[in-house]
Amino acid sequence: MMRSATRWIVAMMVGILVNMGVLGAASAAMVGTQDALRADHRAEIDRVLSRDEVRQELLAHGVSEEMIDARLSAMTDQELAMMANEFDQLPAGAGVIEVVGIVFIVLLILELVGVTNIFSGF
Amino acid sequence: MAALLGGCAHLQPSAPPVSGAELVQTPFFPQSAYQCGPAALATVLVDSGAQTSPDRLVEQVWVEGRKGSLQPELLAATRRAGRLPIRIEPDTDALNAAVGAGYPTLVLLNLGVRWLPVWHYAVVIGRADDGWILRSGTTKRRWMPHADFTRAWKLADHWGFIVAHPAHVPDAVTTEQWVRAADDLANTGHADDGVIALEQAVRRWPNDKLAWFALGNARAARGDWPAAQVALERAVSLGPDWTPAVNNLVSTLLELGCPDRAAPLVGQLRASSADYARQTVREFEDYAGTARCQLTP
Repeated sequence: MMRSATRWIVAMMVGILVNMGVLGAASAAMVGTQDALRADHRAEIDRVLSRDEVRQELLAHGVSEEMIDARLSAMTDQELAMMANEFDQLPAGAGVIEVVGIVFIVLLILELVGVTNIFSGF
Repeated sequence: MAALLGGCAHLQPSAPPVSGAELVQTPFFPQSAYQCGPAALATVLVDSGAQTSPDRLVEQVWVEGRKGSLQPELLAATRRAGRLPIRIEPDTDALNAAVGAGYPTLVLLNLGVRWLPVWHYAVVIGRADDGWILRSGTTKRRWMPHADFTRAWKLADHWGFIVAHPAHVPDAVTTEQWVRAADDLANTGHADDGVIALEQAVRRWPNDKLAWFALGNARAARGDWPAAQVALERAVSLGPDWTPAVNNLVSTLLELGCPDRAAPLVGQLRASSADYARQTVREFEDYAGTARCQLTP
């Protein structure tokens, strides 16, 4: 609830700033290369929103604060959106250390019946 | 055990393949703990000539709370090294072509099953008749049977990318793919590398308006307006009806103090309903610059 309300307010404010020309390209009326390849003009708004969300996710997942800006700056709008919308679904590993025992047994069974072959080298 | 479940896994030891191409020069960085992301990324970056190491990449791509690295961050970290990450088409033909062209390819694999994934990043460096050769985990030269590899790669949606140097356009890449990658590089703090990549683009595709348009924009973003004008002029001559290019050329001509040169193009912008076109028309009409036009007629 709170989060979506905040999101809405930020979107509105960013929209105003973009229209005022406070945010956006240095050279006022130049069209960005990839903006010319898409129809919508919400890119700037989405970018600012995604950036903030990804910052919160990275902080919450143990990335130290001084590293975060450089990491965010290297991401495209699309990557920021992907990180913001799917952070917990993006593949990176199980991350469920407490169920390692059960996962281990299930994977071992899969291995024994020939579905996987992860353990052969262990 | 933690290593197995934390975003990386160890593949079984291999038997050497009998034939097939292999990029034997590809460096190898054995992963520590479950950090296959930094290790695999270092492999492809160093292979492209970038100076980095898994340790240095940990602070760029490691997410402690997920015990692994996320795909968008691997692509972003590639840009931080001044390189262009190029996603390959999701099939083994494209993978084979990439490796055949000399590009070790970073792939995501799921060594588990769909409902219990064991995610792992590895670097494909070669093809044997009946399998694939990888730099993987702590093993420098891992051979994986074709069936096992395609299964694990398919379970990871056939995700993979190569690392391109700005001065070298890979053969298999499309104009739009390269231009987007170069534009992304330019927009993420690597303006010079982005311009280099786009200069290569117009060399490779001299009759493509998108390549010239992108080059013009990247030059303009650096404040190099005369060079931007040359590229945008070319984009407009190749695509006279393409409003974004006309718009940016008009803006550039105003920037250069040449409203007379811009005048014949403004009519086309008046006919457009795009916000940027209206804004440019306003700027043209309100133009009050006194600088002398720096262009020869």
